[in-house]
Amino acid sequence: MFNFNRNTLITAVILISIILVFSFIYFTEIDLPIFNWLSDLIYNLISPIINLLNQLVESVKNFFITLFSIDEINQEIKELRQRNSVLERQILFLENINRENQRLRELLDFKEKVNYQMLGAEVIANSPSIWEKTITINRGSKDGLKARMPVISYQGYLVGRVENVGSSSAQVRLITDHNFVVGGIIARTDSREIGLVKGSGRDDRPNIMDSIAWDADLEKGDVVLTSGLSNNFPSGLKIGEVEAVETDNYGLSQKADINLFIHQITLEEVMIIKNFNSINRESIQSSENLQLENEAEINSDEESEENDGDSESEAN
Amino acid sequence: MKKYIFNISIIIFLLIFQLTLPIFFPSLNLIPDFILIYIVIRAIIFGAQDAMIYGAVGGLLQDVFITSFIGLFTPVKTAVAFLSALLSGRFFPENLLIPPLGVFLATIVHELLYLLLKENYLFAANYLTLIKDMILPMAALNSLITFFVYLIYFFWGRRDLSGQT
Repeated sequence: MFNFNRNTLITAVILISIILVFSFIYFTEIDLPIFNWLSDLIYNLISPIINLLNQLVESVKNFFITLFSIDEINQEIKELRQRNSVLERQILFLENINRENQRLRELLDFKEKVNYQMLGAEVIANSPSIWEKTITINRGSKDGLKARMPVISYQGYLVGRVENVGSSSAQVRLITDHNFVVGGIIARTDSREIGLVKGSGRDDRPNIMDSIAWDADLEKGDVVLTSGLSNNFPSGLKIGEVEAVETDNYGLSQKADINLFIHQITLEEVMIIKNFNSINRESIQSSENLQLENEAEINSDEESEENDGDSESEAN
Repeated sequence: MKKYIFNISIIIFLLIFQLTLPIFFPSLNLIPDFILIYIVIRAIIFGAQDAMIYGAVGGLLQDVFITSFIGLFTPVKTAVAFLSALLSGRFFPENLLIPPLGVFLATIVHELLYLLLKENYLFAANYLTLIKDMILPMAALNSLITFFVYLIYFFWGRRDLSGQT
């Protein structure tokens, strides 16, 4: 019925063989350095073009915005100057409170809250597929970015995590992606229920929070934060709001629809938490060290008790 | 060689356009797959051999911007290019509805193949909802774009022919 010429069939066979080999490599997740190198090369060649294009469009857009709204900008500058002076006064006031807070923490021997090192980035590209929810940002390994770093919006909403890093750009897997999972906790004084927030894979659908205890106290409107239990994300980042709650697994657990906060904003700029993993590692290491010290102490206590017992029995 | 570089440059341009379009128009819910449209049109006009090569290249470039060098788009786009080439030489160029119809079917096959090969969608996805909400609107959008692109291509070709005669 369909007559393909010889060259077409040869090309088809060669291409199918190559693709089968590559598919085998993909599905078995074999890590070949040559592929990584080629992938980085293509990515690092194309992403600067996107970055340049984005800057060009932004500058043209900004030029016209400035041109057509000069009066509004002047008015805004006046208002911002007034607000700035008010904020400066507030900063002075807060600095005093901060000093007092630090002093009280030292008195009570509280653990110091960590200040995260943030890096701002602009979103320069979206995902090339409707099934993968990723964005490309204009910061890369040159700026100290590494894979798995948490990404948040300027409002403090969880956006996603860094997936792949190029030299001057990086890909971020969004919280809406079907592959994305993060531990969530309900932020209510009388309810601290935990669960897993999973991406729906769609922008127009809420995320699902499942693995919630069957008797957990959840209500519509409850705010969900990152629990920080997985060690992949800091605790306390805003995820979304509970939209609806229903039973799951034949009543053995509950699941909830979570309306994400990032749907309320346009993702143009994001922030990357650069030092979370290192802080996390340090805290894990310190807790491990503490555990080791405790174990050593317990062992030494047991040994001393045994020795005491022996000496007592010898004395008897 | 010149031909390959020219066509790969077009694919890179289309990829950049596809990646940056939602940034400039954030309210867009569906982004057309320009690379798929280009490959299917090439498959219909020039046949399987040509389209499969560019299908593999286009898929590979898309995969680089998702996770890995060789992902799912490379085999899926190559397969769709091969299937689209079945229409090649089977209709009169004046029939302006065949290429959009080809792209419509190719989009459905492309997205379904991708979902079936995607591990986390394979058993978890509600296919009927996805077809209704995402695949069919996207296929319609792609075929609408194809209609205009093919119209331009067709009249451009006729203008050249009329110039020669």
